[in-house]
Amino acid sequence: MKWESMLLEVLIGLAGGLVVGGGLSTLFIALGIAPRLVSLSGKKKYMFLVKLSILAGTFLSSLVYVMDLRFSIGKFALSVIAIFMGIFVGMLASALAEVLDVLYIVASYAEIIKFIYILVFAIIIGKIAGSLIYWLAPGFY
Amino acid sequence: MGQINQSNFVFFQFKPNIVKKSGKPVYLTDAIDIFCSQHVEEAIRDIVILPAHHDRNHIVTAIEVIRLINESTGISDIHVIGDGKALIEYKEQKPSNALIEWLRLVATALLLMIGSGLAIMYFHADVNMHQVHSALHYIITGEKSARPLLISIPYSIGIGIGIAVFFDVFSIGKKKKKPGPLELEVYTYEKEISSYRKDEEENEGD
Repeated sequence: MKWESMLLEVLIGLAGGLVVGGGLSTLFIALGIAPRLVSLSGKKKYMFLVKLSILAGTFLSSLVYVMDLRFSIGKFALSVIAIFMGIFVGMLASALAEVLDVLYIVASYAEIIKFIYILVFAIIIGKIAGSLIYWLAPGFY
Repeated sequence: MGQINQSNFVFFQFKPNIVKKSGKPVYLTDAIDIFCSQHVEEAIRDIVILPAHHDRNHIVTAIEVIRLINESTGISDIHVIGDGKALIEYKEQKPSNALIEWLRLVATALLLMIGSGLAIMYFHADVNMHQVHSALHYIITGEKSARPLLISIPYSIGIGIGIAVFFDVFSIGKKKKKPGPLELEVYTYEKEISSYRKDEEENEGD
């Protein structure tokens, strides 16, 4: 491989990574996931930890994805990681729905604003059931 | 002497949400919070700003209120605090039916439940999540598995926890210091709607 094309490839990779990384962080912040977690834990002075963990997480996972790494840390760890994966996807899904004001519009249309938290539980149950059906029922993948 | 001086002023401000129910008049004291002496309060108690048959939204201005108070008490030292006008929102009183409300709740809950369940399935299929789960299973345990349920089931439960964390459902019923995202959303929406109505009503009045 010529060094010019290698250089070009490195440049393309770097540029793509910059855009994706920037986009990803913007997504987490604009959707309010990172701010909400900070405000829920109530520890504003550890804000750098949030940035650091987003950075470390994306960097590590892309390393794992690219470099064919293998950690044999066992099945228990796998399940613990999976719970965190799910929590994050759950937050992402609710954040996306919230951007579209789904809950409020549905609740105000049906004139049941005071029961809006019951609807949150309905969504929780629906999501868990939908996800379990997807993974457990045959034929989805 | 001092008492007479004290009785010669009125401070008032509009109440934030003034509602006109069908078939009932709106009294001045329904629309404003007032600070004045006892006898002034008694004098203005029976002033009606909207008659019972009025059946639409209405903007009441501070000038109107001042005129009404002045006409009935003769006091001219009247001060407005805050906004110079307020919206009186007309609300038809529907007979509230608990059964229908529950049916609506159940229908909405079902809609959101089935819809969000379907949405998460679409999402998993769309992003090829089973490939990622299989790859993760291989990376972490070293075994190949086409259906890595060890990862998929905790993941599914995690989704529920994530939604609960996002909407902060753990602090429902507690005295909260911070409003949750839903409260904020409802608050902003209702504020926007009421300010829209106010402007709308003003434009129609011109």
